[in-house]
Amino acid sequence: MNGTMHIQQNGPLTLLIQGQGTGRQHLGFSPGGAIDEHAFWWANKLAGNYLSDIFYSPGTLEITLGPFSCIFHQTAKIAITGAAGNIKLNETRINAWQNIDIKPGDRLAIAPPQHGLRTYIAVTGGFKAVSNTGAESSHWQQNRDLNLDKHNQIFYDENCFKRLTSDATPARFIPNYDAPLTLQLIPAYQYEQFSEQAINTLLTQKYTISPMSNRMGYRLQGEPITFCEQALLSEGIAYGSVQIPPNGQPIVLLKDRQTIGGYPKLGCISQQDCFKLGQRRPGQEITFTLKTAEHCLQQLRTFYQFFSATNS
Amino acid sequence: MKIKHKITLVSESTLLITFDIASSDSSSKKEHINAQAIQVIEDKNRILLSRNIAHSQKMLCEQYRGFIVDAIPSYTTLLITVNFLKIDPLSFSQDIDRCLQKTLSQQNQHEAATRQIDIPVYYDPSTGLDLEDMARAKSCTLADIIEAHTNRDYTVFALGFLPGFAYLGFVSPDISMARKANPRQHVPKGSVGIADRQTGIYPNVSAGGWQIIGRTALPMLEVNNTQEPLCHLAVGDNVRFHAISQAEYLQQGGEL
Repeated sequence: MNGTMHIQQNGPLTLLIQGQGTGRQHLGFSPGGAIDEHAFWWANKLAGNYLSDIFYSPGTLEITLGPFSCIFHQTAKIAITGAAGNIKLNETRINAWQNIDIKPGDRLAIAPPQHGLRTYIAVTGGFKAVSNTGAESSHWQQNRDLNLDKHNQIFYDENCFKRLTSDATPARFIPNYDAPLTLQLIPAYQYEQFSEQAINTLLTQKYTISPMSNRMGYRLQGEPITFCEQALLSEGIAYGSVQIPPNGQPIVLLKDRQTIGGYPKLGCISQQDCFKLGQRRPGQEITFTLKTAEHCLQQLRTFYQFFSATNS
Repeated sequence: MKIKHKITLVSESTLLITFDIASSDSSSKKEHINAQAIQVIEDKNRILLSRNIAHSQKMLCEQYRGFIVDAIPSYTTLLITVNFLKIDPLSFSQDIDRCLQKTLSQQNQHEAATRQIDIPVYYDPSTGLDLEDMARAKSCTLADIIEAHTNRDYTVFALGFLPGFAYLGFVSPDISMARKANPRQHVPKGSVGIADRQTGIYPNVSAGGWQIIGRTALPMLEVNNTQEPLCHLAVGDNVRFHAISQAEYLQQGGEL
């Protein structure tokens, strides 16, 4: 870890996504991890970091909105994906979704995105950092993702060379984060206890993303979905759960969700649609459609196999 | 008592196991006992379920290490995250089903808790921020509340809300009380509270609406950078509170 990097501008939220996100939910820790795994794994693939375990994240920066800028003190190979405004390496404009050679002293600056919300930066071998607010406080933030600012020392392995299988993401794989989004819902949990009318509302109405959306969950606004049954006992909350609080406005629970809860749930959004949702901005509209778990699982397997070490 | 279970796939990678007790009591028999007695039976069933959910969690996680990446127990459910690149969740649910049928058969059921945990609490208006209000609402003395809280065993039903926050049941109806209408912004670490028939301990400073009756110096969750976090309580544990003096509380590292 002889490479170092310093952040100059970190925007409202810059996280180091890292490590094993599982195994502690029974204690009440949310799993954390990248909100948009599509952009996250593309950044890592371009930097030569392949997936070995779906629940293990190579150290990668997740920048929400920005502006972001940093200085690299040693050579590196990096990749930038996801939502990004103008990117400048020193005075030169460069593109996202490709790998980039960094020389000692290079300054990288990313303007706030016009489309989408979150930018990912991966480096060959992964970034590492030590919390500057004390290890304890970082753990009380619920998971291993580290909140970064200008005071963090960020490290990488200058001499880490990996076989690269792609230098740039083919255009057909680069998403348009402004595109209309239909979320595939796997019916589960209390789905059968909702009225036909409630389900009909969900499947026919448009919902708008509320400004009160974050890594914990996306709050949606629209025609209320009613639930007449009495109070439920708290139960474990799966990734992508669609929770209906008493006001009838759905909440899609994402990576920093609470681990248990007692609100009725309609089921879970397919994980790949959760990745897409996390790039959508407040004010954007979404709709719902029903899909089976088996259908979504097949797609998700293909997705992860594409980024895995054995495939690369 | 027969414990039934049902497994459903709730997302691509997650199985929800729902547990239920098929009561052997006939409905005609139930008519002859009063509501209080029914409550006692229901409470006993909940506790029996909780013990067996905790046991199932432990057994499944040991047996299927590597395939199960997370298992969240709660009142009547166990939510299991499956590593779906290693095993197909649907066929895996059949393996789990067979395994649970054996584990939950009547001769294998677990009635006793695996662990007994003792929690020292300093019950005083200085730490039990709602103790005096509660005594007024219940027309009793502080000593009555402390006696009612410490004279029985509680079961850990779930952990959540905050890392390490344990939901324990059930408190005596004499001290059962709804959450505060206006939650506090700042409930001190170690606060012991009541919400309806549940009691719980805040593992860290937090906002919260439970009625606070005392405070413990015992750490509920220990976190450091190098090790896995250590949680003092686990689902299925048997817990008992006991009252300590201010001097003992301070000696144990408690803060006022």
